[in-house]
Amino acid sequence: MQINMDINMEHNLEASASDWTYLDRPVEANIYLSSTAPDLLLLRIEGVKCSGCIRNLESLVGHVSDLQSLEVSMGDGLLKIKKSSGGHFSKITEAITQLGYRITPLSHKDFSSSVRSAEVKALRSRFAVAAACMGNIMLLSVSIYAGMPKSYEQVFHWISLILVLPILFYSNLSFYQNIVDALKRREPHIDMPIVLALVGGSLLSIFNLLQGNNHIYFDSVAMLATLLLGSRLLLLSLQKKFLSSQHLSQFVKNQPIQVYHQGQYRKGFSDDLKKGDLFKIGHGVTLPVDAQLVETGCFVDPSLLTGETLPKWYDKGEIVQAGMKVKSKAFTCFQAMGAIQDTSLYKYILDVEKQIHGKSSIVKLADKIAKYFTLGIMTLSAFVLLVLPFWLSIDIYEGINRSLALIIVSCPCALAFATPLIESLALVGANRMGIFVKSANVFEKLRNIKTMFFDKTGTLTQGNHAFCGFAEGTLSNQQIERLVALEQLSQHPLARTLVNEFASSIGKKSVQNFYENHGEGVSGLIDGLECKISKYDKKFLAEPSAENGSQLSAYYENDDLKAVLQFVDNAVEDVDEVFSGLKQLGYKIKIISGDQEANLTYLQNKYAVEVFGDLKPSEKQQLVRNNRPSVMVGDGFNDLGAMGEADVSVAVQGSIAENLKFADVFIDKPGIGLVFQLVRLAHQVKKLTIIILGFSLIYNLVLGVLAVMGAIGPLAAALLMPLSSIAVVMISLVGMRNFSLVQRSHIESQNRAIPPVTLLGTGAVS
Amino acid sequence: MTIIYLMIPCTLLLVGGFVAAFIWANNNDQFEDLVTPA
Repeated sequence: MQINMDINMEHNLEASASDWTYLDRPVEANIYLSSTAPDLLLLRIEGVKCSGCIRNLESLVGHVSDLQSLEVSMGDGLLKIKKSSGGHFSKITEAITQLGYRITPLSHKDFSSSVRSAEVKALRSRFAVAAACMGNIMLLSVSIYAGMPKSYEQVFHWISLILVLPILFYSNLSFYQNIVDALKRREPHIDMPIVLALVGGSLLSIFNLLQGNNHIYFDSVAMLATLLLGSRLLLLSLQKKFLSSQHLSQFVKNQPIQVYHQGQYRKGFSDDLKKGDLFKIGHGVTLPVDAQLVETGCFVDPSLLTGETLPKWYDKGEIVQAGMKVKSKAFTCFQAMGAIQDTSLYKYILDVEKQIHGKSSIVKLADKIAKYFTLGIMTLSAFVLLVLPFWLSIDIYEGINRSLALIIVSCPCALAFATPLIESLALVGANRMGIFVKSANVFEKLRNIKTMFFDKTGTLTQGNHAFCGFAEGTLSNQQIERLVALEQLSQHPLARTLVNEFASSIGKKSVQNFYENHGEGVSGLIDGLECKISKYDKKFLAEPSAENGSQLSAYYENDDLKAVLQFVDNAVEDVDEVFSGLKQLGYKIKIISGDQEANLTYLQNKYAVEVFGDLKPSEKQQLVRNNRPSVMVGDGFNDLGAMGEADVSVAVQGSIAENLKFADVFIDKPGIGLVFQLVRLAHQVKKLTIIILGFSLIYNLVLGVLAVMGAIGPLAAALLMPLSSIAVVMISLVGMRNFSLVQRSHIESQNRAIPPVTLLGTGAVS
Repeated sequence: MTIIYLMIPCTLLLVGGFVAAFIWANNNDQFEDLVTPA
């Protein structure tokens, strides 16, 4: 094609021969396609520079049979394509890449907030119209009930009819749409009785108005429509509010980076990185993609991926994995090995996001119940309408009244809305705390499984080394000044700890002949003395300490050992609180570790829990398997098997990438405090669900009986039913809000305890 | 009481006016952000 040639030459863009077929596989394409418009795909497009490009893109519509229409927005670099029914997205995207444009599909979540706001807008208009009409109908109605002269009564009914028309033909459209969609799928829908009541009541009223009798229900119809639209508006606004702020992928996206472009480094976005890009990042930034060190080596905190406690030195040319945090004084230069989407951390996060925006199996169950409930109510109403008048020998109009009231009052809206609402509130609440839960089923499992395994190193201990004193010898002020002067030049994290510890001694001495042997130690000439700091082995100590995870450094002057400095991997702050809380809830706690049993006994004594030491990874796995059902909380490689075996696996911060792949829960805050909060959240979900299901069942039952007995009319029913939906929304909001307040204070107290550790760097994501 | 035949159409006009104003505001994104300062 002539056009293709021109563009390829003109723009000289790399036409990547990527495989787009995943866009045609429903499961994988799911996150990119919206359920309401499965033929639409939104892409980010690069390379569109002029109106000529737009013309060229638009010319595809005729050439690619799978493409129905295409919209380019040059300003924000977006491309919207619509495929013909039965067409394949892959064919279209391939054609576009062949034209030389780089495209990236955007997940529908990325623009769902705008879609959602359009939905809220439409519903708001419908609600406003219904409310205005309802208000005026009620004014007329009240006068009629108050005893209007007969001649005016007819006039008022006719005016009510005029006012009810906008509701029937505009406000109710969303209900009709739901029913039509459900009928197409041949499924019952909770809106069916509502539409039956709204349309049936209106038609009956018009008929009666023409007949001249006064069984008119316009007020009930208007009230029902308004309150229902109101409660749905409330629900939708809530969803919009809670879900719009959920962009987990920001965890790695939007890292502050500088991208090399046209001869200089400029501020850029990590999600735009592609293979081969050069970029720079500063201290404490999480590496968004797998990348190769280009200019210099640097220290990298691998705790998120490997669970290792100490930052590792990477040399120039080595490849650093995404998710590792750069620990360096200056900006470090990398070359990207691929895009953000290729990393396993990102894939895990996407999985979690998909879950939040999809429905869990419990939600689907509640949906099912609501559907059958709907069918039952409609049958019962038909019975009341057709049989009751003859059976109890009551007026046919009274029969209509009662069945209308029954239909209205027992609509299972609360049942259908409550469960998904609570679960999404719980998932979102968990997210806000820093817990990524893969599936809402986890909540149910966490409630029922009472055996919890905890790994020790990295899970119960901080995985951070803090200076805790001299294991041997002490240093004079002069010696400390020399030590600090030397350590200040080192990039090693333990060196930073010391510099922070003895901050008042900074800058007192100058160093000559400084030499750093990465991973081994540093040396230099100070005050004419050959000073050296290096690793020290525990076995050389006079009294070896039993404290696990302690690191030793030795300080020498002229090869004369002056002191041994000790750094300890402390237990996380909240172990005590978490264990006692879990035990109160009836959980059995078992600590498993590859560490020596002797190093675990102090845990056993301190927390009164079972400990298992000296375990190989396979033995850990065996132990978890024998104690199923169980929950496993772990981080490292050695927990991999055990976590795979457990019914619920929780990966704490600092977990390795393999664990992230199948962990049900990923905790992104230091400590295990959130494990307990997650368990509490799980219990709260159940408590709220029971409260709400019980409430709506009793409510519907009582009101249903009253309606059949004729104690409440259609108008009262129209008032009472949506009130139950609103009550349910309120109960779940209040229930969850109470909970999240506790969370916030908990996290704050945790953060306050962290600062000295963040200086050290390992593990703490601020 | 015949005044009601004048008043009711007036009310309906008033209602229509306010609903129209609301829908205009809604369609012009006046309710999209109720938090940040205008």
